[in-house]
Amino acid sequence: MNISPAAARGLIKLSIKDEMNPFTKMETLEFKDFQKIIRNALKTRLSELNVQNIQDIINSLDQILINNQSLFTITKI
Amino acid sequence: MIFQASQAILFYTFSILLVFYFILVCVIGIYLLIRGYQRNLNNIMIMGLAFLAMTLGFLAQFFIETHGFLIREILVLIGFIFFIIFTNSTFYKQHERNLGTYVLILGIAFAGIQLIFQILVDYILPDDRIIHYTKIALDLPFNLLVFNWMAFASFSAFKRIKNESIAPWIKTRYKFIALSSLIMSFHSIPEFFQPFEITIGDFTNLQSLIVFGIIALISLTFVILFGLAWIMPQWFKNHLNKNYEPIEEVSYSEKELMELIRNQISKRGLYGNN
Repeated sequence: MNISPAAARGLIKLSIKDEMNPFTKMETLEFKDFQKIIRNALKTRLSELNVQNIQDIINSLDQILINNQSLFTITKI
Repeated sequence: MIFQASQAILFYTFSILLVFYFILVCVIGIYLLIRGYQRNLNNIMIMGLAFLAMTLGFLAQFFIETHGFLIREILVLIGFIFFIIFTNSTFYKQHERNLGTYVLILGIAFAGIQLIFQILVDYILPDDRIIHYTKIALDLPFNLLVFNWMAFASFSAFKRIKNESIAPWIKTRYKFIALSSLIMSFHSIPEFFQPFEITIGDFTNLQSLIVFGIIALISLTFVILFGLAWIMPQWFKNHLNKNYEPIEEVSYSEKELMELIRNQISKRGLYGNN
């Protein structure tokens, strides 16, 4: 999408807020939670922004998530 | 006499190192089991069980007279399979190439073969040199598979994040896991040099003593590095992070943020051009 990293992080945080319980703490989110967030709430947000090639973006983010899944374990201990 | 005394000293030194190794393995296993349970991380609990299986295995060898070696072998093999499962569930969930599955199948096959050879060595052909060395020869690829798989997974993950703005202690954890696993993958190589029909560590045999020492040192190095990776004290994390500046997030409201993104997208003329 070529938006700034800060904007991208903000968009993901909004998507987390959309998808999850408002009392959910960020540090409790797991791999499958982020997959749901990317595939559902983020996709909806991108659609609201009239971004095209949304599915390519979603697939790309999904792959990045899969490639870096170990962070969910490594950072929690 | 001096030579025998120095051999005895070496034997007791290596034995102390090995006892220290077992204690650390047990501590790490219990720690990971508890932390995994607390953090709801099944993969960490599996790794904790792997360490505990190895501890129990070696205790069985020393304290159970009948079938002690076989029980040890079964428990260590279970531990090694759990290591593969940990690697797969931590690094390779939903991976398109399913490499983890193939590694696990290969690992189970190796474990089965090792078990058969252990039965042959213990009960059926205890004096057969060929069976003895075939078992050792097959132990090597199994060790290489289990620990190099973990090393490769951890190092690959580290390479992906090494230039990202992530706390240095996390990057160090990846490196320690990779390095310690790589070292451990070679720990069965000294067994090739163990004289036949002589117990490992027999201090009347210098060659056996050296083999014992090398195995003890490799195992201890692994467990210290691996333990430090997972039981990282806060002062060490702080030391690693001393030059790290986390990204400071600017706070936007939802409306401000969505406007910002729309403006950035339209400035860069990127609607329909992602």
